[in-house]
Amino acid sequence: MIQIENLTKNFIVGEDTLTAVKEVNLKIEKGEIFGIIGLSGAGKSTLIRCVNRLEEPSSGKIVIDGIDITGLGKEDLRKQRKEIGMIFQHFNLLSQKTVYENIAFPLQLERQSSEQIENRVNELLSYVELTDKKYAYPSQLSGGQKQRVAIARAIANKPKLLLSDEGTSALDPKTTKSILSLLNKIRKELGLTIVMITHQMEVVKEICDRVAIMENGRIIEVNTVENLFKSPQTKTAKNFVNAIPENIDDEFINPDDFQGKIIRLSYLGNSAKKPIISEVMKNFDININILSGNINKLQATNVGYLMLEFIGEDDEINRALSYLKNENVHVEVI
Amino acid sequence: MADLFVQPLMETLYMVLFSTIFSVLLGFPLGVLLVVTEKGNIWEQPLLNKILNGIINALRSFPFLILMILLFPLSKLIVGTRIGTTATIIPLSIAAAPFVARVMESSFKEVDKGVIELSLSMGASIPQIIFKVLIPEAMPSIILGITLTIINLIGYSAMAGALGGGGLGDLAIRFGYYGFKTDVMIYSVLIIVFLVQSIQFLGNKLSTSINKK
Repeated sequence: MIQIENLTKNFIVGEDTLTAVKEVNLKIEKGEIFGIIGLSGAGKSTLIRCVNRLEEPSSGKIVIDGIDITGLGKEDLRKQRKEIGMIFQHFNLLSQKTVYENIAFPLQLERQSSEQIENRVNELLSYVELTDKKYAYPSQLSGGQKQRVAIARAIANKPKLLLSDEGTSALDPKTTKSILSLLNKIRKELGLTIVMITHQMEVVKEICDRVAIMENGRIIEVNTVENLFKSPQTKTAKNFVNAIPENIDDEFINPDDFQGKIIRLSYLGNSAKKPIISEVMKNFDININILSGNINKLQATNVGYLMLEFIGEDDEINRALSYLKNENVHVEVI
Repeated sequence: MADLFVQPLMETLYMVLFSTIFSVLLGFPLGVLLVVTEKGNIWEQPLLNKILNGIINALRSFPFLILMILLFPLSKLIVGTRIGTTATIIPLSIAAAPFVARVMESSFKEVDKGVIELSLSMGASIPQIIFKVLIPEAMPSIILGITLTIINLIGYSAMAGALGGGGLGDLAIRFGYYGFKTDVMIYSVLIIVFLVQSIQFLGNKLSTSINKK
């Protein structure tokens, strides 16, 4: 469906040349949900914007369904863009137009008749479950509703490809899930190919079939999501896999089931590298039972948490806690 | 006494109304051009952008009275006379047009770049982006800009009055100030103040009521 060959994008900033995308090669199959994950600045957003040429590639080739996108003239490019829907992190809804008018927008660009437009928009409104918001303005909608409108608008022209540029990054986890399931439904029912850029591994895990990992403008790993979790090939991939928060453990810990105090420690940066727990055990007369924990390397810092049971005299526990606080550890008694 | 003010008030309203219409007709498209031809915008034209900026800056730096005198021949050409309320509309419009262009430019620049990008991603043409996205999205701000223009023109028209344009400014200066009729001068100014206040009030109201953001 999409073939990207040797794609490079340079930005010229003053006298410097900044290479955002370096010799990227990718093949995305029809009907798949393909994720591109990377930290901010990895070049993933530039890469996806090259696909519909919102960003002009410096060199290389992008072929979609046999059409060389990179070689198209302005008019042909406009026609091809109608075949490619796109959603954005900040939704990009027309603020002065109603939900109905926003979804009608791409159809009006096509100069469709108002009857045609009305039928299609109503159909889309019920598809994204926003019929009751037909005459609302974007400012009256929640983030999730705004993205639903944006999705309805992106698929209004029945494109064959949908690009998502951090489409769920501005949403809370619950709303993210509902948007992802909408995207999945669209893929299943309408047979769209979806390419999504994200920095959230949860998103990839939830919905993608395959994923490319991007770092410093290059694709460093392409894998199925299943294999990525089983055996990530690169260090960056490993970090992303480990970065998925596993808060589920916490929910199973009920303080009433334990004799001692349940403490949650979370630490950032260098304190994660120190043997804090063994120091507490040596210096204070308490026993510590480790219930669950996790340490991740995120960007350049370590982020971790530990669920512990402190067993001992209250005074001694309190002293240990204030010691921990002095070590820059966030302490929470549960 | 009140009769004294009716005719000048009408003249002021007449001058301001028509010079607003003409200056917006001239300045609005210029404002659009200033924005769309800018670097990184939808119709990048660096040379045209530079020329437009140069012309607008030059026109704006002219002292209004000098510009008016320079434009007398143009008034003569268009309306057949260089003196009088109608003749004054020509220099007023031309003096205000570059101001309108700048005000409109800043209104269009407030439009979220994201929606322009969205329109491009949907294959919208440049005219479609201008008419269906840029202008409607900027409308509340455009209305405030026009309000500002009207108020500016009330001020200009008062100055133009001194050069034979008539209106409240003329009344205040010639009849009131030079004629030692302080009360006439004060009342004329009060009417102008009232006009400005009402127009600002209405402009704010209209802008807020249509703004859905």
